[in-house]
Amino acid sequence: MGARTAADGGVEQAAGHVKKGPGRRGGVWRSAPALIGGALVLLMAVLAVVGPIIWGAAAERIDAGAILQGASAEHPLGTDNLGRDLLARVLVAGRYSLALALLATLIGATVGIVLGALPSVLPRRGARLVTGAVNALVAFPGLLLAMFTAVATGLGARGAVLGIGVAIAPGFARLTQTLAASVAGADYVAAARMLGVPRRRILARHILPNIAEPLILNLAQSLGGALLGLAGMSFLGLGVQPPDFDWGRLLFDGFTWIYVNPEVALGPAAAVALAGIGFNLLGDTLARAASRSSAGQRDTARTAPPERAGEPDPDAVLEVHDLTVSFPGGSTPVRGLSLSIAPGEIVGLVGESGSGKSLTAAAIGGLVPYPGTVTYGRLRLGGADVATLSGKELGTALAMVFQDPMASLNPALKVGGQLAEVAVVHQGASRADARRRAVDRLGHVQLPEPAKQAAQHPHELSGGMRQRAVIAMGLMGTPRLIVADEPTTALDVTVQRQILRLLREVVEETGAALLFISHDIAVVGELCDRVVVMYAGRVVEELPADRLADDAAHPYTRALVASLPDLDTDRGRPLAGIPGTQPAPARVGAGCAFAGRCPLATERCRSERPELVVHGLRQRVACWEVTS
Amino acid sequence: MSDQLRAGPGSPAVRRTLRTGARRIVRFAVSLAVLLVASFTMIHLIPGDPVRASLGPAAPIELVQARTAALGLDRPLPEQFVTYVGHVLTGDFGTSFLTGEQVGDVIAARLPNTLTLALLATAVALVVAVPLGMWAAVRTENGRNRGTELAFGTATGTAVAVPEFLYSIALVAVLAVGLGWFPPAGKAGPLTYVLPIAALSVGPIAMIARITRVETLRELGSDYVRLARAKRLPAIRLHLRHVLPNTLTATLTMGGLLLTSLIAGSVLVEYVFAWPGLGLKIVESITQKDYPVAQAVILVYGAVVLIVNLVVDLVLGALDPTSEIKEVSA
Amino acid sequence: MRIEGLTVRYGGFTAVDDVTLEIPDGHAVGVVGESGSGKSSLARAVSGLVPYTGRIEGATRIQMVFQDPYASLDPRMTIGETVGEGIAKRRRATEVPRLLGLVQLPAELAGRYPRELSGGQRQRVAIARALGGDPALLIADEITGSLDVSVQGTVLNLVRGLRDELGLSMLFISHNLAVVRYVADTIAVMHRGRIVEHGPTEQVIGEPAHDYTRTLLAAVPRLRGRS
Repeated sequence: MGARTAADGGVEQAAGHVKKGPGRRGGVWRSAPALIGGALVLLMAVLAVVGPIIWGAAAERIDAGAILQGASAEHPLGTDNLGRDLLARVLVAGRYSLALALLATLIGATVGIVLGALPSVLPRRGARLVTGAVNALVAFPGLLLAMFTAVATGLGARGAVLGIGVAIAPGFARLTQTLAASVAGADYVAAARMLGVPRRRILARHILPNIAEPLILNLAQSLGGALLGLAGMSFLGLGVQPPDFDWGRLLFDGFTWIYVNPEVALGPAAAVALAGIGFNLLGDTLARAASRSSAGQRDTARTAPPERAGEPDPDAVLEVHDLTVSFPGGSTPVRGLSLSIAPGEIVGLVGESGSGKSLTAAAIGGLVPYPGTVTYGRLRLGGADVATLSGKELGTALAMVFQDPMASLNPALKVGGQLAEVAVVHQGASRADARRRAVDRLGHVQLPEPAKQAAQHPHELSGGMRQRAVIAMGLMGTPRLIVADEPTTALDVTVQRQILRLLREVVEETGAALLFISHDIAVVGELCDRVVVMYAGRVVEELPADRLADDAAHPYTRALVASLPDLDTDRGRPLAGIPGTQPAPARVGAGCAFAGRCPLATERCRSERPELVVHGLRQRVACWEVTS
Repeated sequence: MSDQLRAGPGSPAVRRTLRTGARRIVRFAVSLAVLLVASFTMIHLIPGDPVRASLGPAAPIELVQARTAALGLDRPLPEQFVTYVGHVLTGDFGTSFLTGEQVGDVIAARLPNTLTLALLATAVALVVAVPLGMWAAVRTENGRNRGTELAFGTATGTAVAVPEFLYSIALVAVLAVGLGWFPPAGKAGPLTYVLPIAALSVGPIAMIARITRVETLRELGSDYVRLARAKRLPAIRLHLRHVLPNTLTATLTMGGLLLTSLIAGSVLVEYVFAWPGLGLKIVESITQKDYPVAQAVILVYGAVVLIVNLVVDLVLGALDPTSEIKEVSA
Repeated sequence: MRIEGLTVRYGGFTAVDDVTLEIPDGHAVGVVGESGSGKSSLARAVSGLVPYTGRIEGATRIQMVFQDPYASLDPRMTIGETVGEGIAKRRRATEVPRLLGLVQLPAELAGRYPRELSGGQRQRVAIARALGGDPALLIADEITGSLDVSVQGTVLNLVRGLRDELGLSMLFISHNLAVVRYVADTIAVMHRGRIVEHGPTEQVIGEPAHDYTRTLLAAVPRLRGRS
């Protein structure tokens, strides 16, 4: 399937370029939650080390004269039923609480990782048994498992630690299993197996390193959970028993007096809460740091104000002049693009991934994602500035078709309802009328049994059928322009052929213009009247489609055509390839963006950018070497 | 291959739904059996003689023997198990060591109180959290409003990290003891419900709000939302009619899981508020070594969890047209 | 080498249905088909990655290059470590630069990680790794499927060059008829798990015998007026 999703994804990619910035790992750590979490955990660790040393004696000092007192200068948190200072006891209990939590986490992690790894070494039946058991256990709340274990192993710290360990284990087992299965199924493991790399070496070199990080991460997060779980058990009287005490036990003791002196519960409660918050915030931060090394950068780049163009073309359906799409951080995936389409005309916008073609489509549709900014000298649809068009006018005059028909329809809604919506919202049609029109439109795009298909959910239709439904959705209004962004890239060639034919028929019938965006120059050459070639955010050439094969002038267009094998390519000769790669949207220099890969490039090409100028009949090229 | 699985007339899809439903019920039955064995085993795993442990070292040997015989603990294990299963199936959970009450009666009286608490808390959590999560997602889409994102993340992260018993204690200390606005404990009238439900639902609200936000963000980035935006649908319609239904599966799955964890979490909350539910009973029975009660309550808790999971699975399977396909291709 | 009566089933679904295919020494056999035709399952079965019934004769030392160069390299291993994986330790120091040279990559790349490379470069690394296993048969499964056209051309040239240079036998799988035609000596057309036609490349393209092949050929987009 993924075969043909190839050279695309313009919007995402362009945005991706922006996101990739160095130093964001550091950025995650500079945020407030990270700092708070780190500080709290550090504080807990220090407390665990020094607490008993400093306050150990104070915590055990019995004072018959100060039994069950409230807060006072001498005992800021009051005293317990033996007159012992509660603040000292809270500070001392940190070590025991943390140690038990650590122990429980280690038990849980060890058992869980072993259980999770077992299915990959056991024979199939045993593996299924273990997997089933883990799945059943994961469903049970940890506290129940912990209580069960604690009853079976006897009340006290040992039982509670074992219980919490047992409660943590299934989660670890499930995680280990999923991770190991996904890594074991990776292509690089398959490649290693084919190279005869021994099993245990694959485990050591490929599987373990790739699952270790998330497992360690989970370990950190589980520690917080174990701490809270143990506190809960002790609070219920099912955990630590006197004369030992942890925070939960102190809370248990204090709780009895809470109706008299609420502050006696304050110390241990705050300690448990702070520890929980600390571990959780730190865990979140670790997870964020591990999962993304990217995020939008904040600095905004200023682009030159677009120049005002001459008189608008009254006949054009779409007129774009000096369109620029930029993202913060100096990335400008579309640079000063101009384009004009006549009614009934099919224009192909072709380019490789990263050329800015999909963002151009998004900009025309007003769909450029935040934080992208769109500027233009002119952007007119059907003779009116898009900024002045209402949602209703835009929603009916502009139809869009995207690459992935699996994703373009809402999986939760029936096909017919999604079509009818346009008529209900924008045209004020009644539900029944809208529905009738939807069925009619579905029939129009040659969907067999349209009434039946309208009542189905998208997943019940094949990919080609879904793309027809999306096109039908565009026909619910009276489209002046259809923007199709790689509409056949995810489809098989035989289905692609049908969709291309349908698009052509729709254009002929409705007189709408079609802007067809594709990476596939052969498809564009076959379908379109006129082809616009984009490279690094700019149009480098514009020419009639039937002259693409033989009369392309720009070295990039020529190389693209030459590198495409077709059914008549001379098999005896090597295909043309283009050395190097297209510059990223943030790295386009002052000269011609193609100069670095161009065999004809001169010094002038590198320093001075060629404008798009007329070159022969209905052809325009931006290249110094061709036009001068 | 996805095409073969997804396309296709209605009848195989219906059959597939039924088949996955049947598989879930079988899985449920197996889990229930395992639970039964586990609860039976529990009493035999207890170190030492449970009857002696329960009655205390001072109890005369005759009494211990009589109790042991009355409980059938002197019979061979397989026979005990058969008797146990027979009793459980007829609703006979034995009698309490301490009070001599029928355990079945105790459960029948207390289970509804626990379920009411858990269900109300789940409902409150969903009603508050889903709009909150969606709002946060819409506001922070594509990384705009970083301040909101940070505040939301920190607030929910903190709320999730504090366990329900601490909320309970804080609520009792401040609102009940300190300000006297609510009764501190017991179950008598609507006011007594407020604090336990609040304590139980804070964590789940934070959790569900986070998940809803992530799910909503994912949906907002999908092609069908782009298409809906290209159609210039009003924002309200876009969010409520298109995005919300697609986030519900994940949210409801989470809600189901949360309901089970709330049933367990209610143990601690009931303990703090002296709520006459099963949770309070299980703590008492364990600390007082009243093993027949502990055994039965754990069994019932486990069974309730299994039933809730089954219901959630079946409901989701019926609701989500694509869930059975995920199951097949997984 | 010969594949006989090969069948791959996933549960109740038959992905490859009784396929028999001959791959003569030093020949490149192209397999073309649409999604769901079973071509990738065939590749995985021949590589021993999925269970199958039937016989594969004369198959020693099979290596495979995968479609997605972003998923087929271990992100935690350097290029050198990846390429040297199947090679005895003492020979690695000399073999890795030689293999990188074969796929026209500079030897300095050995110390880099996959994330620092472009898609085309990664695919070359994957080819070098496969060559390191000294394959008697190289399976290429949609290896240009996720590359841009301009890069595709250079990778196809490389594959053809390697075949001529090293006398490799190849099973070259793609959904793109033009690409298969450019690389393969014979073409097998797969449809719904079966091979519906297999013959010399020019014959299958020029005088297709099966209806499905004709449909497929008619659907291939062409530039108008290309001379």
